[in-house]
Amino acid sequence: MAELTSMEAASEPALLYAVLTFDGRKLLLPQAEVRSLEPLLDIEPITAEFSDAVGTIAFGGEYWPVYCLDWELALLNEVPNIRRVCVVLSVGEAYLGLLCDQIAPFGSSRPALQPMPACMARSYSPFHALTIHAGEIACVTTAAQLWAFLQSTSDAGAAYG
Amino acid sequence: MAKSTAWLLHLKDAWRTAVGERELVHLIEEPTLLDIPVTPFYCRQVLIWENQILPVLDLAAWLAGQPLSRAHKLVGVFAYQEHLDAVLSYGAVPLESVPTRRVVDDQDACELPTEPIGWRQVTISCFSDGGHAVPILDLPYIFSGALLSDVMQ
Repeated sequence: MAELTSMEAASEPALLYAVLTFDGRKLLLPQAEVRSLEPLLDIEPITAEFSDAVGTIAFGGEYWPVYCLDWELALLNEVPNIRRVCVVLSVGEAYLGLLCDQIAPFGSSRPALQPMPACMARSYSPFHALTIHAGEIACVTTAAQLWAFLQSTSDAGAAYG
Repeated sequence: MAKSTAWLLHLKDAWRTAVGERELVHLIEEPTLLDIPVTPFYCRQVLIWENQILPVLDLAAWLAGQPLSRAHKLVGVFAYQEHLDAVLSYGAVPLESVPTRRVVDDQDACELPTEPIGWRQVTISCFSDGGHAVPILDLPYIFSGALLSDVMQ
């Protein structure tokens, strides 16, 4: 399996990545899409508009949904004790909050991205690539891909299992 | 009569299949397999091999049509080309036991087993080994994503 070509790499939205950790597993997002890190204390109750979220967060003068996922990317209704930070991600002109256990920069080097193997790339998967980070696998996504996945999950009327 | 050498692979129970001699490139005992979310039930794991991330396609689970145990003691790493001029790609398949070598003659060709029905989609031919039909795997097909398309239909 080849790494992404230079043309594909150039189309990536950012050169630097942030590593979000859920339940000990890793998710890579373009660092430019991380707009803010907020403490869990700042999360406010859910609204009818975002009924599948665990709460809302104020950012840019508006309230945005905050989601809590497990490693299978199933929506959780309750926040596990291990979640410590709300990462506010930009999706175009909108925002969403994502709870994670830990967030750190990938580092100054660009990760060697390998496209999702064709035999496991479901059409609705939020991941477009995989990479090796500190000897472990990290799934590579974007805020837009995550948002689309969350919407499809909500549309299905149940958390992905 | 043309003869060629094949590796006989034991997938599960009585399910045996084969690949060409050069298609099996490595065996990994007690592999470290890592789960990837939002993946099909028969291909939920990857492994790191030679600094590459390889999909682990559980062909036995696909043939059974349901998830099987994800704990595998042995996987084979296979090389394939998506087309004639393509660079080599690699993928892994869990195995029950260490593959054995077979010399296959043209006259060993036989009909595919009727069960499980999935054999017809993932094999290119079949030969008889000791009275048992052994389908020959179509590696580019199973690793290309075509299998996923079939399942989604």
